[in-house]
Amino acid sequence: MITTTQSQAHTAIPESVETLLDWKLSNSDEAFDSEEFLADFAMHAQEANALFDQAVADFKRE
Amino acid sequence: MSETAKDTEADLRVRARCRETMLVRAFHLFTDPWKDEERGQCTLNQQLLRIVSEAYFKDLERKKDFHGIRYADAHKRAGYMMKWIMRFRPIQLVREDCCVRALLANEHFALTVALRFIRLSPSKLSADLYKNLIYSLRYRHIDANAWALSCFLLQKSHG
Repeated sequence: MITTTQSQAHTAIPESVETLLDWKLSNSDEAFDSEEFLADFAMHAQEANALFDQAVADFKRE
Repeated sequence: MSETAKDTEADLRVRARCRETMLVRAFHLFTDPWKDEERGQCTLNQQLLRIVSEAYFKDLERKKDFHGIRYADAHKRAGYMMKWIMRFRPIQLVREDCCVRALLANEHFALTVALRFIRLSPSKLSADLYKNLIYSLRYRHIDANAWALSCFLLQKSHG
């Protein structure tokens, strides 16, 4: 059963939804298609490949 | 279709082409440390890569539109990129007797790109964690938002 109080609470929902949808946690304007990105990526790739070798060695031991 | 919708779609295509170019170059950097024999076992299919890039932007645009976000954060970009690389697997094998590096090239590439998106150096992760991430990419149906959360947590715990 919905009481008068609950019913009044329901009328406030659109405002809450508006607040939720208004979260702006996601803004970032870093460009991922730049030369800087690729220069960093080259270093990441070296490290990732070395780590992959260790992970694969672990696979082989099982 | 309205003019605005057409503009948005054209803009998405342009951005997708830029990302596709970046991914091609990233792939060459990614396989550069490999032995010649390993590198010869797989190839990057650019038709599939184009689909990856376009699907990524369309998918992310839908999310941004719903939430009224101007730019997606690095974790979402990483999660959505992981999803679409794994969905279309643009790195294709060209032989029958491939090494593990080639067999898991899509997983490894998706993870390497994602880690760069969140600016997390792979050397900060343990081999055990790396193996688990590769395993999850290969065998688990994890959606883009869950990968985005995983990337956020990885950065918070290891960044």
